[in-house]
Amino acid sequence: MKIRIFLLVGFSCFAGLFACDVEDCISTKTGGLKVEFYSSDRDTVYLVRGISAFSEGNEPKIIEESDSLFSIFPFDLDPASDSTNYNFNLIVEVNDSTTASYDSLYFHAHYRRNQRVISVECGVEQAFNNVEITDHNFDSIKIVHPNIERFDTLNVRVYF
Amino acid sequence: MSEYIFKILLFTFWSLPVFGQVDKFAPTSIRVGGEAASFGYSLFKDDFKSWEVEGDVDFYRYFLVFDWGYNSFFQASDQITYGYFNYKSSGRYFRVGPDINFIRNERTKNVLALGLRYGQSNFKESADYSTYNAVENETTWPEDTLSYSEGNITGRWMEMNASLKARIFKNLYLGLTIRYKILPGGSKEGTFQTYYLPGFGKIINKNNWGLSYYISYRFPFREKKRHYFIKEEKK
Repeated sequence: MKIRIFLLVGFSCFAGLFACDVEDCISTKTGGLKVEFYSSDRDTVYLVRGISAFSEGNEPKIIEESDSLFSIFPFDLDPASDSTNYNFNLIVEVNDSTTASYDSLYFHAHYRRNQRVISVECGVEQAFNNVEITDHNFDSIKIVHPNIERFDTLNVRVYF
Repeated sequence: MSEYIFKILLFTFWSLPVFGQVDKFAPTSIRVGGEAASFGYSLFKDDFKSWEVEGDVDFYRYFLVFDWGYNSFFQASDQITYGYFNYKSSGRYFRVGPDINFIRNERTKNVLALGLRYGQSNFKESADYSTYNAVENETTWPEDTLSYSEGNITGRWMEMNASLKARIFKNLYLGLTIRYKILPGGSKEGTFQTYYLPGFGKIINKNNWGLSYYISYRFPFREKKRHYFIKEEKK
């Protein structure tokens, strides 16, 4: 009788522990480097009306002149490499009736990729950390959040 | 590693200060067994293989316990939302540490014990996955395959254990061990975080629960003097 109880308790515990093995299938990581554009005097946030962003081997990311203006644009970093080059042209709104175009802008981003298995059901997530802009033709830049998170509002400020 | 083992041995023998009691602490038997639950489970699974042997030596109410085993964990998933993902981890491990027995039954030698373990695993792991899976398809970059493979990795952890071993027939015992496993730091250096550490299990958090179910056999090699017999003779 004692042995039966022992076996029953043992296997119940065993089943219970496996039942608790629930994994969370949520990734907070993303590969979009969120960039905000500022005037060189650092006072004015440019509202973007259009952008054409190109990177070798990548589908160009183009937003034609749109009615809805935006100030932050996500540049997709290469998930298979530790660095990404972007060339882009920008149309920003100077005031209500005037726009200005900036062509042949570029930057080179270098970063560290970290992979973590979320679960066998969800697969792997990749984090893009320690982002550095190692080359660019802006006046200056400021890294706000070097580790890219899905719910970050901003990673880099660009002044030109 | 030698530092960990030294501390564990120190903990085991901390209560042996009296030279006159050496005989009391002399070992009387070795118990050797195998882990049944994971081994049985692995017989029905293609993606999980496991075996483990366990041995202990008694020193009065203390035991020195040693486990040695092998785990292999493989998962090929084409059911995920984006891309694909394959993962494999396999390797050998051991645990060593003391138990303190709270049952003192000379006849049955049953055990209800608390203990500590140092665990170490030497393993290899590999993964193949799509970039679409890695960034949840939130990219304008074309899909690419990423591969990771590393061998001769060492993982270390500590455990607090509660064990029960009950004699079911002569020298045959059934045993149950509940483990609370603690991973002190990162499993290893590198950009790919280990997911499955043989002997520890899935690294979802820095701690993990485990349960082992043993069938073991006790080999007595020395009978301890029974003091109550001596007292009866004096009468």
